[in-house]
Amino acid sequence: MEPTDAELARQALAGSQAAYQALVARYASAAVNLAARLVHDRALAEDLAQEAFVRAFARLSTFDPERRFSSWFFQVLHNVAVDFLRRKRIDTVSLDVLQADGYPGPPAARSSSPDAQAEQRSLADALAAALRRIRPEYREAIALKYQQDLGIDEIAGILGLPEGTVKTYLHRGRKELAAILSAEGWKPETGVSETP
Amino acid sequence: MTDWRRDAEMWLEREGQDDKAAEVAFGQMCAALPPVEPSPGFAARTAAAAWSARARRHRLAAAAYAAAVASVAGAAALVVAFGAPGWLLLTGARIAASALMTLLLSAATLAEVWTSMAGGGTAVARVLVMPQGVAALVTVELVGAAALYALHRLLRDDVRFRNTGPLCI
Repeated sequence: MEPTDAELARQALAGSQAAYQALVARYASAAVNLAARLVHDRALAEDLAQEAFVRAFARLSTFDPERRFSSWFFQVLHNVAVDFLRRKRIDTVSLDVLQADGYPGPPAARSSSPDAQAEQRSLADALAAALRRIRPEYREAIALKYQQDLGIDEIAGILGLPEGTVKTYLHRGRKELAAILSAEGWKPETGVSETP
Repeated sequence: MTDWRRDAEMWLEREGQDDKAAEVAFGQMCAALPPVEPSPGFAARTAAAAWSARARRHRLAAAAYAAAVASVAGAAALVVAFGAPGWLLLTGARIAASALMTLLLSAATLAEVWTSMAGGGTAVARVLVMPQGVAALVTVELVGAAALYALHRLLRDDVRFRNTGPLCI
């Protein structure tokens, strides 16, 4: 049976590096993914995620096992990212640069046809570019909700904001993304029927 | 037309019409975003970095502790070996006395502030127990509530106006 996050954290506190490594492995993808949405640079995202894991380990004794480790850790990662963004105004990097840097590219397309793959890549690029243009607060809330699949209460805990504000951020962020993508021609001229 | 384009179009169509449906469609469309996976060996490197950071912290704490113990022991050894010089005792006594004075003055200032705050609170309470005071307070609150309501209406109208879409001429 897989040990729980709390058990791994307790073992890590007791001195087990392997336990902490297992805990890191469990949340590495989520952490790098979220950081990449915030800074748009794969190497930087890894650095920030690593910094967050190191900082989390230094404060592991303050982790309450009653809480979810992911929520607690994302809070640490959020603080690391905010510190970084305050220290440095970063330039954004396009997804092409990420792909040239070993970025895996979009997940397997629903349809294996080259057309569908090209369309997915095109949509992913447009969406990622639109995400870069909205406010960082909206972007982070959207990444936590739609990529990490967290609830509003958890996002509110991570960002240190009231739930109402998180809902507002999500709503406004989505509206802004819709406006950007519509302006780029993703919205059809006429209505779309749900059946193909 | 591919599934992805249809998803995107469906989401954009639903925005502004059905908020709940738009949210669901947007969630489905977000699956198009490529996941950014960490490089191989990330977990091992990170755990090792956490361990070296901890070792560094321990070393630093041990060095600070050793330095503190050494300086106290050194000072004590000097006093034992040569006796405490008069000027040292005098300076120490002066510093201690001025620190004590500062502490007492701060406490006195704090007490004064507390007394004035308590006085202010008492005055407000006296006004509030009078019927005229209560009436004045209720009036002020009613005026404030009315102003807030008016502001709320104005903002709502403003949002409604902005959501009407482009003006057709």
